[in-house]
Amino acid sequence: MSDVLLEVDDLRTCFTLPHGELRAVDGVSFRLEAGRTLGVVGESGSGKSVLARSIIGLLPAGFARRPAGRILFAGRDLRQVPESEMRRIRGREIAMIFQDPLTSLNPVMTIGRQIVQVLRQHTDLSAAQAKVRAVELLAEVGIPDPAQRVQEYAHRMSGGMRQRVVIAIALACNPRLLIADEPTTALDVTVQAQILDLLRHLQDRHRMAMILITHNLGVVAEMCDEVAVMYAGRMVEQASVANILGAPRMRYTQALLQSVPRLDSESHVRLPVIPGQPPNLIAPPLGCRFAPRCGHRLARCEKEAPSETDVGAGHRFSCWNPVEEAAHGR
Amino acid sequence: MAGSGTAHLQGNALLSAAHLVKTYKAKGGRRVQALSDVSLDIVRGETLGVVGESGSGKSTLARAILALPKPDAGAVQFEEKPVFDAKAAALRALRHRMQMVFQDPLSSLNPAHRIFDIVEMPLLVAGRSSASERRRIVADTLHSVGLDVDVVGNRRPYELSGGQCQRISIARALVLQPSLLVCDEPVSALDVSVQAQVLNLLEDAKAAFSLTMLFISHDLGVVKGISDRVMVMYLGKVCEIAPTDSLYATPRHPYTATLLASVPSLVPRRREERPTMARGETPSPLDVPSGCRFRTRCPAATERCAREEPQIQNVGRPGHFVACHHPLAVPASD
Ligand SMILES: Nc1ncnc2c1ncn2[C@@H]1O[C@H](COP(=O)(O)OP(=O)(O)OP(=O)(O)O)[C@@H](O)[C@H]1O
Ligand SMILES: Nc1ncnc2c1ncn2[C@@H]1O[C@H](COP(=O)(O)OP(=O)(O)OP(=O)(O)O)[C@@H](O)[C@H]1O
Ligand code: SF4
Ligand SMILES: [Mg+2]
Ligand SMILES: [Mg+2]
Repeated sequence: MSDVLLEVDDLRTCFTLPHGELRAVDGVSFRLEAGRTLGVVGESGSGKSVLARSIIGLLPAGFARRPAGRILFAGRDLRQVPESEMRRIRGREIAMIFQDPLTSLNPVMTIGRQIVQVLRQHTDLSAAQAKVRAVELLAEVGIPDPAQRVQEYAHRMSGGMRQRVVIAIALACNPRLLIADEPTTALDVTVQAQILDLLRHLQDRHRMAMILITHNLGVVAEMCDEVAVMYAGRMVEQASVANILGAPRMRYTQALLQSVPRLDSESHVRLPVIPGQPPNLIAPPLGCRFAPRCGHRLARCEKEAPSETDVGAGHRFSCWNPVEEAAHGR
Repeated sequence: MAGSGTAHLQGNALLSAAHLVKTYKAKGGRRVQALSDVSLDIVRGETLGVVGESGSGKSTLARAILALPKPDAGAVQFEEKPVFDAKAAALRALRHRMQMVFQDPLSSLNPAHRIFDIVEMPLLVAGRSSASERRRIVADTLHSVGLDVDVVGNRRPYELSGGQCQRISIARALVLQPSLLVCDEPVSALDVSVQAQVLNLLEDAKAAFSLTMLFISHDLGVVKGISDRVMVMYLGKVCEIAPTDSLYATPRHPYTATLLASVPSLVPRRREERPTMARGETPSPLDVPSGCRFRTRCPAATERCAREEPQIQNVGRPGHFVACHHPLAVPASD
């Protein structure tokens, strides 16, 4: 385990709202080795994007204070790093692809200039070299006619093209860690496959580590080594991709997997949904946060937050009444 | 696709769009052919799914139908009235019955407004209901997309997660109970359970007030679940359009087959086992191939494909149309 690149320990991030503290990320811990991919899946609003932004130190407006906990990147606690140094790390060592591509591109600057700017800031390339590299990067992410397209503005491109521009910018400096928040949702499946190939290739070549936030469990199956499942600010289960998809233990993970629309299912059938609403993160339930919606809850679940069970091989989950291992036929 | 024609139109439709063309000017006087002669129609209560290549003109098509903005050429009829000829006031009235969910949820919501006001706005503009009635409608609509008005009502869009914003735009579009809903990637930011909830909601709306939908998505599983028919687009043209089951079971256009084969499966594979398919370069929309636009990537392409543009034609099963000179064979067992 000497190859750990990122170690996050009991991370907590709150927002101060008029009627209380919203605990968006509430005690999250995990580690990630160089060259590996951690998938983060889970409920909408469970804190995946806030977790990502906490790691690179770019929280949206309205956050209360610096996140609590530890974020060790290559041995240094990013929470202690001064902002000037953090700016250098962002872009060169850690890159992030944000969830909404349009809002992370500058509307009044051509995409070519935006890429050149990043390259000039973080590498030794000359202006002329950076221009050449910008076109290469666009070609790598599969944008047709890149030499022409560098002169384009973001709002004049399709959703999927913008998404690829954002990916190109993130990859510009061969980061050691890439945090990708829904990087392929705006892409058709053939372009998606092409981008996933590219990311895998970069991982093999540069041992890039990756945190991949996605709702697409097919993408998770294709790309991830380990997967973490989030619910209401907590990581409720972590395991190898095979175990999460094939032998989940925590009840939310199980329920989530049952809602996946499949290519081989019928049209117009009612899809199974998890009843009820996610908890209000300002006043989360006392016990297990999933308890109010869980079909397997015990009396204990409502009173006491489940402690983490470690069943070995990196499989950990928090649940008082987990899926029996035998249920997965092993 | 890569084909033109109107053979696939059904008639007596709630919405029909004929020969839509939209080009954008690019640098150096060149033109992007975003939409080249696309026609479609949707009957009341039907859901037409639209899938296709990124950049193939799906969003342009959605906006053209609602005249946001009008395309360069073509006509759209909604409830038997021409949309593009409508005067400003009439168009506004029409828009109450034709709503759209945009692709970039966050950037389509006004950041200065509270969530409650955003969802209430269409009701106000349409002059519907009393204040207390509006309150109830907004709360119910938010509830139906899995959000609680007391939790999110006073927040602003940037204080919500990506999927929460996406549900706000769906709520905003549904609050007037429109007869037509045009959805551009409406569920892409949602976890699969919330996604299922929203898809069920749309099915309910369809049953309750014959909601008619144009549903654009890259998720072929989602499109299969919700659509009655599916249209496949490639570089500004229609490749194939067919009843959902027929399209998924027996895709006839080589591009449709490529798409279906690229869907990642749920079975994890070890790194070494993951295939790296050669998928070919997407041609530039600034300089589209002659004949069939898919021919540069098509395994079945012949010299005829470069010469002649395929026309949309019926193949075999009723309602199954394809624009291809060499449509794929239907498996013998079929
Ligand atoms: N700037 C902010 N101010 C207040 N609350 C916020 C802010 N940003 C996010 N939140 C809240 O924090 C919680 C976590 O949000 P986050 O964006 O991390 O969710 P997510 O897991 O990424 O969801 P999604 O899958 O929908 O993108 C949500 O409940 C959201 O409403
Ligand atoms: N405002 C604009 N100005 C110039 N070109 C544009 C504009 N909007 C779209 N385009 C171009 O038109 C083509 C079609 O774009 P459109 O957004 O309709 O594609 P799409 O099918 O929705 O793709 P995606 O799946 O990536 O969202 C693309 O080549 C795009 O770059
Ligand atoms: S066979 Fe010809 S017409 Fe058919 S998709 Fe291929 S290139 Fe197009
Ligand atoms: Mg998010
Ligand atoms: Mg689009």
